Amino acid sequence: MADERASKLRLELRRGILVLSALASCKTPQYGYSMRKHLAEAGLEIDEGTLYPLIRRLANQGLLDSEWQQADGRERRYYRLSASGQEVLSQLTTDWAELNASLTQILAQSEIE
Amino acid sequence: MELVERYLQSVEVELGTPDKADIIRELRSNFLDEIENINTSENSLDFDDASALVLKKYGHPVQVAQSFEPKAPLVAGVDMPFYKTILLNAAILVFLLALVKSLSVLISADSVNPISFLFIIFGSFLDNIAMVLIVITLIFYYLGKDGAIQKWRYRYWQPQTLPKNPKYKTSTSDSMTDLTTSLFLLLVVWIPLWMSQDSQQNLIVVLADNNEHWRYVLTVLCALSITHSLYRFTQHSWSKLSLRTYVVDNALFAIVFFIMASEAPLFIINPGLVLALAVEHPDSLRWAKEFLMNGVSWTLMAIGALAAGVALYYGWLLTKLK
Repeated sequence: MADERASKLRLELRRGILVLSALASCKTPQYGYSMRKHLAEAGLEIDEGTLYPLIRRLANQGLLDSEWQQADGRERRYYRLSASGQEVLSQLTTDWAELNASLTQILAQSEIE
Repeated sequence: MELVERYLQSVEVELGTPDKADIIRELRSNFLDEIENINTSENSLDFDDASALVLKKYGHPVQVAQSFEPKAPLVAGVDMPFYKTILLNAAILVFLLALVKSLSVLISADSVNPISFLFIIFGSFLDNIAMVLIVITLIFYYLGKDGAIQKWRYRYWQPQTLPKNPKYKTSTSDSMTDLTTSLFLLLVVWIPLWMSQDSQQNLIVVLADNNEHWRYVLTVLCALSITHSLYRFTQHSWSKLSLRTYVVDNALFAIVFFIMASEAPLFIINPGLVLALAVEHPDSLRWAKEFLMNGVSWTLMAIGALAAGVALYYGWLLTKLK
């Protein structure tokens, strides 16, 4: 029961950083599968059913630019950060750094107590 | 590849968005990458087996379509509790109106048929509840889109306007019961207004002479009770004023019913039917006269006692209010 609860909370925690992770990945051009592999190699496993709709949504919001490219006899849709995506990523990165610092402090205090 | 194409067609059928062709194109590309990844690993599978594995991991085509095109719920999450309350109250109201309608049919009928009575109640309820459900859901769908319902509900909220006695909540079902009882009583009291002459002539029991004034007394009491019930729907908890009014309302009903009980006989056998009944059902006639003399008094006293009990209980509650 506790494992199930922890697992759900863990999922919520990870969900909170998905957008930042996806935007940061797209600093270099990525297609869906390559992005998933890139994030997995960094320790962030995201299932396909979550990632692919997310990057389409970010593209629809104008944060990512995309184009179809032919390579190895197959076509793939490549995503990269747009100008507004760059701005948002920069803001989110700052926010993340602040949140991380606050959380580190809170966790350190709770350990002392 | 046939399996992948079948899967993609199933997803496409579920998509309503204008760029669904592009979504399918991208999904195809992603699937092929995933399948290729499985086949480059040590234990490679044939294409169809690898496809089945990947597609199974993605999930049912309907789920995949919904992830690309999440549908807005009919009722926003924040509005659900309010929606449920409105639906419940509407269902109770429709049921009570169906009950009142059925009782009016029962009064007009020549004979009492419990099965037919139940059918009328549920038929009338089902007739109306579907439309009520659709209307309420549509209202919540259109108004709830931009949070308009939440804004409207709490537009005047201030801490100072919170009820003084939030613990003493008014009961919607009690208010509904009071409302229906008053409406039904009005219906019975004013039978001459809505029942046809022919049906009235066939009523076995009628109001005795010199008791016409009770129609007006009960009408005034019912009007007060209906007004108070409607007012209570707008309040979530009792205030001293509403509680005092409720106590007085019930006390008046108690007094009136006790007086009516003492003025026997209040009702008599329809003079136009006495002779016929005396010939065809003499025992029933004797029993009916006995009941009208004494039974009605006891019944009215019981109702009066009930109203007095309610008045006493809420009077006691009044002492607890701030």
